[in-house]
Amino acid sequence: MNKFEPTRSGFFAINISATAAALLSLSLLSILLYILVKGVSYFSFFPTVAVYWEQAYAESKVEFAQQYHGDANATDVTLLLYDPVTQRNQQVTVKQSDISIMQPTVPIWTLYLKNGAQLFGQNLTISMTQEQVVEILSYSAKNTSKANIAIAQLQQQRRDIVSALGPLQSKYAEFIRINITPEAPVYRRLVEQIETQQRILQQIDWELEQFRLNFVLASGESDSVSLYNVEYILNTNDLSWFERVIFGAVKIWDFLTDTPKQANSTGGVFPALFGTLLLVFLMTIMVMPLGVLTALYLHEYAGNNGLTIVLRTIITNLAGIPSIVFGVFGLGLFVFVMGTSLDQLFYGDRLPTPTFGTPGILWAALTMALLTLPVVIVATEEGLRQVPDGLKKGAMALGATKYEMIRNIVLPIASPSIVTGGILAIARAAGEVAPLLLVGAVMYAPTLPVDTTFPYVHLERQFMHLGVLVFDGVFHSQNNINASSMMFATCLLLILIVLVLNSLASWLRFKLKKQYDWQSN
Amino acid sequence: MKLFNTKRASPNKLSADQIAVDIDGLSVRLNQKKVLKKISMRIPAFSITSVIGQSGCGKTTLLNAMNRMNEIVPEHQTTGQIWMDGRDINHRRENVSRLRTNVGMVFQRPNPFPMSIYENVCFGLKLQNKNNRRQLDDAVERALINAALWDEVKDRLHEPAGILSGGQQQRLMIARALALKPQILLLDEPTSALDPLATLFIEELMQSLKKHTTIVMVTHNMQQAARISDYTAFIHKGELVEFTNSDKLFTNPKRKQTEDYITGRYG
Repeated sequence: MNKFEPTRSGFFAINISATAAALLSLSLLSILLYILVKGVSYFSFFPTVAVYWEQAYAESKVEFAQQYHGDANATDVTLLLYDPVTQRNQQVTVKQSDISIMQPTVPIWTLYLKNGAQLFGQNLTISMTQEQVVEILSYSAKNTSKANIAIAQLQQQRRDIVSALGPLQSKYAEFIRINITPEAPVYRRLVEQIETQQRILQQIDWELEQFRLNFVLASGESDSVSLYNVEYILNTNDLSWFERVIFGAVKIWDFLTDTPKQANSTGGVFPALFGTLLLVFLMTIMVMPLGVLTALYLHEYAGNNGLTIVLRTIITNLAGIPSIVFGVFGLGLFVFVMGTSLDQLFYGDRLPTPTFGTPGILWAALTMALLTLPVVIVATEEGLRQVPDGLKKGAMALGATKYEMIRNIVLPIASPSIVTGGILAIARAAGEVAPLLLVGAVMYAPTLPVDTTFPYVHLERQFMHLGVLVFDGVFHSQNNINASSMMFATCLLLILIVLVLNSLASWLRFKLKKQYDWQSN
Repeated sequence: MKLFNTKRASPNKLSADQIAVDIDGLSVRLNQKKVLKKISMRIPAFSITSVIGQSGCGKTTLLNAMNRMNEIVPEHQTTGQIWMDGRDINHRRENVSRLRTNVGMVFQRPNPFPMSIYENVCFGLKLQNKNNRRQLDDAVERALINAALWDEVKDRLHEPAGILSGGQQQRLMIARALALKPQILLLDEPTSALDPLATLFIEELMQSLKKHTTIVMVTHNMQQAARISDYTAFIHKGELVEFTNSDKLFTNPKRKQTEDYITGRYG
């Protein structure tokens, strides 16, 4: 008879919210894990195999190849081959049942070429002008061989000539522009100079081509590539874990410092990394003063009248506008109106070639600044609201003017919130792609916005962006495993950048909060 | 034993050079509400004057009028004159910043800035571009000694002001105002947020300060007003009801309203 009455604990509701929280953390973790696993494969080494397989409507094939996922139990094996015609890697998927031999036993060398491709061969030898010089046994031998020292010297000469040619060619362009007669002695001398340099350059290139790296293909045929085109040589089947870590680190370094190759499907991402950071930097120095000053005006100076209510509504709604619309707006106003008028004012001599009247990093940064402005304003106003009236009055009572009160009391106390606004703006700007495609980010930019030619910072140039690179990489990733893993590596880098920037800003926020903590009493 | 000194001259009988503030027909409107109506009073120099009255009667507004802090309210309107040192501080060409350094103010709740004790005290001096380190050190030390806080904080001048107790913070606020060497110090219920011991400290401090400074204090505590102030003004609904020396006001009020208030018959 003594039945316990169940306690009403709201257990069911708690369960639902706990499940929601668990699902959220699970999805966050799986995103990170997925990107991490996929991205890290770009820096790992796959076994190289000699493989012999039957083809349904063609001759059977024997090749050296890199074997991507596909162990003994898998039905399909994905192989990466080298195509000597296109000088690129080619990816094939072969049924396990068609393969008669697949073994990593023979020492197969992977030649990492300068154009980003990987070539596979054995019995490596170096020859210099048809005469054999040294046989390569390991990756370290390449760096110390006589041929390589000679190549390094030639390359240095080549670089010197290229850098000497640059000014000459721009002088030539200048002559063409001012319509100098071809008979003029200055012009003739210049043309002669350029031609001499170019002849030397051709000679050096020819000499560089003479250093050949000979190898033997799986079919037994011999072939060779120019040693100059080989970045480094590895035997991926024979790497200890220590070497894997070391060469993985080398790959990561290359990824961070090299330019993309083969239509952004391999190589490094340096221009995109640089472009992203520069964009974020420019955007920050544009948006922070503008946003903070606007918030200060709205909160401290403007009264609570109809105008400020309208302004606040506009600002809040600005945050809801789709980002692509900002891109269109930036293209229309900044590029076509402001850029074109800038060109007419200052670069009239270069017209009709536009300087600022074309998408570029300046306009992209300005567009992003506009996009992130509401975030900064709202966060700053939130911080300003937290400043106690007592402190403001206290400062005024000590003879501070309103400006001095704001500078000495209000801004320091609101600074953690201002930094928070900055964090949110940076995170948004680093990840946004759609508007950038319209106002200056490109799949491939031949030059960086900052270089060694005067005036060193070229804000009118187009730039590469990690997000855009990911967007581009998606199209390659269907039929190219290497490109796919590069895309994931780029995603990983993008996440890391946002993470690093965020932690930096959070640390700054923490510092400021500790310093200007008015609540501790 | 003589408990009450009723011989003290009434403020109206003092000569002009014994008067620190001469308020003449002061009316203040804040947010379209008439807060003070035609107040005229002469506050004697080097003495403590208390202002008492119900909540919302305009005590604080009167205090704020003396260093023009009412101007922080967006809609404010002040008429009438307040004379200090022969100048009408309500004149539109009066330098408000200089006025406020001359008329210091301490609020009900201590409001130390989120800075070190040292920086709190020299905040006003730094605003005047006095950046000489030695002079600042001297000024800070003098202000803290005058505020009876030096012995307690001299070893931790560069620690945040937030670590001090409420009473210490309030004395720090007084030191902060004193660093500017004001002629007049306005205290807006300076002890209402403090415990009795801290209150006693502040009261003793006020007694020593009045040698150099004219003190005007708003208080809700009538015992306090009777205990420490030389003169007391009673304000009711924006009008000055009675202003005379404290002993007279508390022992022998002339007006019925005053008597009702000090005997507790008002709300």
